[in-house]
Amino acid sequence: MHKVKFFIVLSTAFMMSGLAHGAEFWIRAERFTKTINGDAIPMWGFSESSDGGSSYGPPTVPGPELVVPVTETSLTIHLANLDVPERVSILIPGQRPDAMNPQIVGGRLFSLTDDVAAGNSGTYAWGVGSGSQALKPGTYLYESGSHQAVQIQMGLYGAMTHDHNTGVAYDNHPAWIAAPGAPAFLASYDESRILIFSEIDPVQHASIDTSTFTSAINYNPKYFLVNGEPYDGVLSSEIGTGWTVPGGGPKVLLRMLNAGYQTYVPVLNGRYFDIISEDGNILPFVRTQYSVELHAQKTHDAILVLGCDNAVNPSYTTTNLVLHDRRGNMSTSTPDGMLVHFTLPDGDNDFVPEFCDSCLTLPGFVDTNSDGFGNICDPDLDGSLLVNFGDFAAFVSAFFGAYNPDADFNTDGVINFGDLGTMATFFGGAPGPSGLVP
Amino acid sequence: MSVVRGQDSVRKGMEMDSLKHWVIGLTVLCGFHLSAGLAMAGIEGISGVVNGSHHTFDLEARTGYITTGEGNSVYMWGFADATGSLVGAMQYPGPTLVVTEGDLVTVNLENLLPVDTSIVFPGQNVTVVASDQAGVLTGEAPAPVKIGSEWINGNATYEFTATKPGTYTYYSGTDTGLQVEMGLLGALIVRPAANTDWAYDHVSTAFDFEYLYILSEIDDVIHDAVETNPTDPVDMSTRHTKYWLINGRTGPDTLFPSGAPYLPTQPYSSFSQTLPGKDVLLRVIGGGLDLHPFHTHGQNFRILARDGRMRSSSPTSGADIGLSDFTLTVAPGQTYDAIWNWTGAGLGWDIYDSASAHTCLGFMIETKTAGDFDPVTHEFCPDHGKPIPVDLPQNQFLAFGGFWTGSPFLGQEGALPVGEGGNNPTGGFYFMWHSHNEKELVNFDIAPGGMLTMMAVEPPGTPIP
Repeated sequence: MHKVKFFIVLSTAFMMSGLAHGAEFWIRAERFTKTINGDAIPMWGFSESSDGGSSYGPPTVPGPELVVPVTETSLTIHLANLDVPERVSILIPGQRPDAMNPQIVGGRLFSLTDDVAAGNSGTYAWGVGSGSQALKPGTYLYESGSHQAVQIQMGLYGAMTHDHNTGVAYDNHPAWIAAPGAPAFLASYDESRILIFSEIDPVQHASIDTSTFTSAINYNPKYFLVNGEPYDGVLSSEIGTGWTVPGGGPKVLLRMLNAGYQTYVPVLNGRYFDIISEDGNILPFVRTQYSVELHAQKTHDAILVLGCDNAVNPSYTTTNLVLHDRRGNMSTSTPDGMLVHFTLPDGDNDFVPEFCDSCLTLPGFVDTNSDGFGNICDPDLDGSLLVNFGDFAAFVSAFFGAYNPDADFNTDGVINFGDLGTMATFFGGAPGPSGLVP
Repeated sequence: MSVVRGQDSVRKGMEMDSLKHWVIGLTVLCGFHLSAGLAMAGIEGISGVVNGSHHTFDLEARTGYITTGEGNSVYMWGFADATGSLVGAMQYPGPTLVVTEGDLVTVNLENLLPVDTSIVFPGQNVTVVASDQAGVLTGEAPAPVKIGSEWINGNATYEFTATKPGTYTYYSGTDTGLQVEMGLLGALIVRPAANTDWAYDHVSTAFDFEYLYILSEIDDVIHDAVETNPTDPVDMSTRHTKYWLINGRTGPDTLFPSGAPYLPTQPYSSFSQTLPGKDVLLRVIGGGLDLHPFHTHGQNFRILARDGRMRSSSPTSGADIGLSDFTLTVAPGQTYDAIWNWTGAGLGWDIYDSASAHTCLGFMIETKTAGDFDPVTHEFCPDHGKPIPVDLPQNQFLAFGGFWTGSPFLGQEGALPVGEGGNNPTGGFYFMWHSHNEKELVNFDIAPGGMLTMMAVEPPGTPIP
């Protein structure tokens, strides 16, 4: 299933005084079958245990998201290998593990670190031992460090995230200069999404699973995935919900990771984002782009500010944001494999997103005459963009006569003195503000 | 700053031995080119129907053919300017749309392809004013349908306000991988309102000349399959490109003039010219589906902007943090603006020939200040009077490329065997600009070709169109 994560950073948990508390996860590598477009593909994926390794959920590709809380400076991963026929391991590019012991098999490097054969388990640590490097904040891939040409493509990867502060992905770069009025942290955000790009070569998976595999040299992927699934033509993810400050502005952190072996170039239609990091390193200056070069094994964080200067009524793209791979990577049997469809909340379907559309009452406002101004700021009943006697006359008719929803400014079902107050407030001026271009 | 590459390129002319064979052949074709005059406008484009600050472009999506440097003909899908002189013919790439900051832009698309199509404009906030059907990325113009005895073409109309200056791209938003491969792509240029010789609204982006480079690739096997069965889905994982193009032409067609009558569906040249010390704006677009390392021999460039936004340390600082480099990784869909300026500073020898009488800043001898340039010739005065530090080989030891004038000095010619030379009548310094993924310098395995063009630093006084 297409996993959509609406990630809300909770306030920090308590920290045991005097002790650095470590984050700890139990995951297991196991074989399973993933069906894409009716094609049953052998995969190796990670499953997660929430009871210290007694029982595990189903394996997934990508593997479970490992969220290391703000307060933790160390990470321990207990890796079990249920039935993957090769020895597996865990590495997190960009994070220095406490130990790294390459494993040589038949005179050739097989694993970049200690590995775990089927039926066994092992423990991996970052920032735990004395003298070790503390865990760094950011967005990272965790993946097998063994026989990577096989094991990563088979699915042994996932995302690991660790914030600097609540709602702040990274500390500022020392060279970063805050613009006047800018927030204290460059990497502050209101909501986030993880987007893991990857691909599958079903022929190689089949040969790996039946032990007939010889070489990855003819790697030729057929399926192109975001968060483990090709775009199905239907699914979308809503962003910018729950925003209560009118005039727009929710900052969506897009954590983009490429677990595959090829470069992808996600392009956002209609808006720009600010790329703030690369491979878990905060940048001193943002790169304002509508695209991102996502090379193999690379991670980039970008902040998409859902501002209101783009709201034009009607607009096809204002409430639909499509992130598509400009290299055109599509599954062979469905269109648009690497595509993410974001929608913006638009309760009144006027193509102006909620956080731009309302006037002082978010959520729950209405715009009964669909002129782009929420009722609460729209005593401009004749649409002249000026609230004057013509509007007052229409209001009076509704006050005494038939209910006119447009004149029910506070949408309480009656037209009364509450609404008259609104008329008085706006009289002589323009309706609004709204998301419309002035 | 590295000038070693500049020295190598100037002294050797061409890097690869194999090129000498090509260039001999090229002299025949370039003779044609030269007789047509060195008329290369900086950026060819269309403004559409202009009504005040409202530009309306009528585009069609059509089938057609292009030619490649080794003589092949490839079936294409491309955009056409419905009101252009080549009515009824597509072009590859599509017409370059040129507007000014703040203009309202309307693009009417009529579809004569056998499949549905559309246009997306990344970086712009687009309103679909009308479309005959909805698509995933944007409104679409469906394939023509026959009603009774008439074919009714699909239509879509897009509108946006070009709020910010810069270099942008447009391409099909329908089945993007296949349709971009087939040729449905182009450039959009938005000029700043206040200064048309700036790339963006800041003096740090000022330029003297500008050129557009749209990089793309072609797998002719896919084009053959589509020509035979236009509506069958294509397995793009079989894609194996054999042609690499700049502005829709393979090398050496990249050097021929814009609007060449023998390349009717490929109207845009990428041959580039400048003078010493002048700022050249490079507008580079990843038009295809692959990444290319675009290499500018002769000098580093300084990045100004990406995707139509300046690389700025603060909102008012202009393009102050762009990197200096000599190879640009061009990714699909992305746009790049950079300034390239050749000075010869630090070459270590007098580019106007130490043996010829000329002054630098009025002096007959070298000056000591690193920033000294002659205001007219832009000679680097600390190198004035220094001889070229090699014994020049005699002609009988040389194989000749058509751009070698017989002299290594800017603006000079020397003795050449009968029939040699002729491609460089002004005696400029020719730098090959190319994809540094060298396998892309062929046309279906025929070398040289592919993704290459020339930047000619001409001697002062040469008219640059």
